[in-house]
Amino acid sequence: MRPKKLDKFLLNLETEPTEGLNRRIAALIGKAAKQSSGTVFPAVALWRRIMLSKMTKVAAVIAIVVVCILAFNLFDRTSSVTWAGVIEPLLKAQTVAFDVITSDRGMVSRTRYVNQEGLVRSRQEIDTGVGKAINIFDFDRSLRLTLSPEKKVAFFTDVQTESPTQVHIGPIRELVTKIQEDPDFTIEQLDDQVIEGQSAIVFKAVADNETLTVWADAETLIPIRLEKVIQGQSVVLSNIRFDYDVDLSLFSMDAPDGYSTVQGQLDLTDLSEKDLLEGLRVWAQIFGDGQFPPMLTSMALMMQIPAYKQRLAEGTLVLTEQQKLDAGNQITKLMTYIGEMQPQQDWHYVGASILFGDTEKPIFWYKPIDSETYRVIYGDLCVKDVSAEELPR
Amino acid sequence: MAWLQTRALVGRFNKGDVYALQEIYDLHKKDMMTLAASLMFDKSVAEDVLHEVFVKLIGLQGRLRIKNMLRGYLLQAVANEARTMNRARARKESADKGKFSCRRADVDSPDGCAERTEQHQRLTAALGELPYEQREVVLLRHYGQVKFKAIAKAQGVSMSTVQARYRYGLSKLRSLLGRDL
Repeated sequence: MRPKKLDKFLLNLETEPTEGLNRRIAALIGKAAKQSSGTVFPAVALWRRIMLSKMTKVAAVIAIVVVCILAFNLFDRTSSVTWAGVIEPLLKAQTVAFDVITSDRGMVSRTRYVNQEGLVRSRQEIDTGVGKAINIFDFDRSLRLTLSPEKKVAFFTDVQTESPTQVHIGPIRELVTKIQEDPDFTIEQLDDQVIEGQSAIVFKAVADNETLTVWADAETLIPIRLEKVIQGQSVVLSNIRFDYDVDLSLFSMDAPDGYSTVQGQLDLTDLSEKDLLEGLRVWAQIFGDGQFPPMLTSMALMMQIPAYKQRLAEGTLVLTEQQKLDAGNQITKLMTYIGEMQPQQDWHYVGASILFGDTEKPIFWYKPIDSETYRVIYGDLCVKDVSAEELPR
Repeated sequence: MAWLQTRALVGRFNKGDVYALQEIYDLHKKDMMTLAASLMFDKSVAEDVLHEVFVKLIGLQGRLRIKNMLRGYLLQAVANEARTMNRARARKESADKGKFSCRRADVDSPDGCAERTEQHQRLTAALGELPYEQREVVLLRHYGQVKFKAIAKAQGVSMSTVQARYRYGLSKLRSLLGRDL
């Protein structure tokens, strides 16, 4: 007996099910779906939603092509196609909604992003411990609505930017693309872990000095947690959900009943050193009560909000609603300006606890592009050009 | 990475996506149908077997565990269902005395003749000569790549019995098909 010959024989037996059976099975599954809890797994619901829309079909095809290309690249690098499968929802996330929680030093902000039924918006809720702030951003109109439930004030800001404003998932998508375009990028599958109570497979992608770690549900391979580390700074996105039933009213750009409104503009184009200096002044004088902050991060600002509110309540700091909005916008300009600096600009902030007006102590320095010297900013916001050898130690 | 794809598919099904079953069906329908038809020699009965397999799979939502390959699992499920159905039919057709009767009329139907090669017909006829248990072992082992241990467990007999059925089955096929095999 030669079993291999029998195997060949058996291949001749191949029998196709009839269309009748195909229909019976489809009906069976459809009936089961109706009887189930109504839960349709996100990827499938997403797929259906994508394919229902003419516009998004194009996006879906592009996403598939990207994933295929990515899969090929990864095979070349001795990794597996699984990475491509894991990041697929990230790349397809143009038509899904999801929650992101970022946390740092006990501060938590919850971000929702939606791109459905013609709305491309994000909603970020920040709880400072003494109050809540809500930011809703309309990406189509580049319009930001900031709600202060405590004061019942709605701040509308027309934001002018050179590059599209993004919430966390946007930069993550860019990072995925950037990493896979890097000729030296590597993908490593780490040991399985239990994360947020779920068994997860873990991938770590590294390119240059940027790292993206993805934890994916071990059964479904859907990402449940992401961590990106760029130049030593880490952002963790957790509690991620793709394609959940989102309440679109949460993304309304109308001021709630009973709210007073304040209109403003935020021009983030053509930012310069002047915006950096003004941002540092506002931060120290208004939010820091005369002191420069420990770090130039949004979380550092949040840590100062309780004391800032206390001064407003006591009357030691008096600002109109418009001035408050302008102050916040100035900080946004500062953060945007340093966020757009190139790595070779080598910026450093050393202003922690330095008093505003100090003429001796430097608080910040950086190297303008194509410059041989550094710009050093002191506590009184004077600026001096110095060589690298003369930089403060 | 087929096992990972399987894991993802089964994971989706267990987490509430019954439509994952549609993907499972599309992936494996041909193999399942081939096995069922080869075991039952009746296409409509074979289709009933597949239908029942999927009814039972839906009932397993949330607790379906696949240790190895999904294909092997499904083919084993088809064999189990076919065996159950065959026993019921055997009881009904007492004249067969427990031995499955090959419905030649169906196997050699005009449609089937037009589509099938002579080799196919000879093999089908030869398989029909095997006792049902031997046919199941040979098909599961060769077509489904199912291990003897798993077949033994499914048939409720010892592994040596399964191996004996396999040997007898192959020997009979060789005697029936001669040099062709």
